[in-house]
Amino acid sequence: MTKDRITWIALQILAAAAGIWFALWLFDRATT
Amino acid sequence: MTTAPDTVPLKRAFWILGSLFLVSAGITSLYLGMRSVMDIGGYCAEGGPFEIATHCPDGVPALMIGGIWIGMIAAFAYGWASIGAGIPSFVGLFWPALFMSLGWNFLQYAFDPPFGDGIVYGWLIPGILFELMGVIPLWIMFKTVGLTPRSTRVRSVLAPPGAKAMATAMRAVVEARKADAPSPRPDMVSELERLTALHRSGALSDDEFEKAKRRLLA
Repeated sequence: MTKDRITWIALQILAAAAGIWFALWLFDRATT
Repeated sequence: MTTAPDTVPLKRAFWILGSLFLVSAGITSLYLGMRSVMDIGGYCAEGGPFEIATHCPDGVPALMIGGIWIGMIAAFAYGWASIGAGIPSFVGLFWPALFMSLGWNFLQYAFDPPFGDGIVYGWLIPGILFELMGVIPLWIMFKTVGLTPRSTRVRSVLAPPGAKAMATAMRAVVEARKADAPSPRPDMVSELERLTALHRSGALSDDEFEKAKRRLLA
């Protein structure tokens, strides 16, 4: 596994985690 | 179309990460929306000229519909951007993530319903189905293309069933033919007989006969 591959996987996991966090925040705001 | 990951342009990287962010947010919205609808019994309605028995929780319809549409459009954009860039792509995980997370809701609420006791079979069965719909493609994906689908490997997955077996069989036939190529010629026996006759008659010396025979049998 090259460094680039690991970097891309890590960046994408961060982006996906940020998406989950954003949806949780939005849901909390919209439903209360 | 595989470029080295270090050559991914900034604009493409923005598309990849931005669309993945939206897909992830979309699936999470659906997951949360589904849970809040299940909390009030599993169904709700808004709008239309009807008398509504169970209203939806505030904000949930917009978030769920938005989550579906934005998530779906972003999923296509992400698939295009990530596979085209030749980087490890999570696109194959979207379907399993969607079905396994919603299936998880069904299973959890089936065993622990918000109203009453006991197992809710109307939620248990879709839960099991959703988990299977998620886990089977996930397993197949890791068995075949993995996270980095290269164009040739994608093509072999998209080929009609049996195409791979057919290709393997054809390759085996070609290989077998190649191996058989230096097979003995059918006229070799008559050639040998002629040589022997010439040798006996004295037209060929012992030495010449041996040489010719060796060349013929080589």
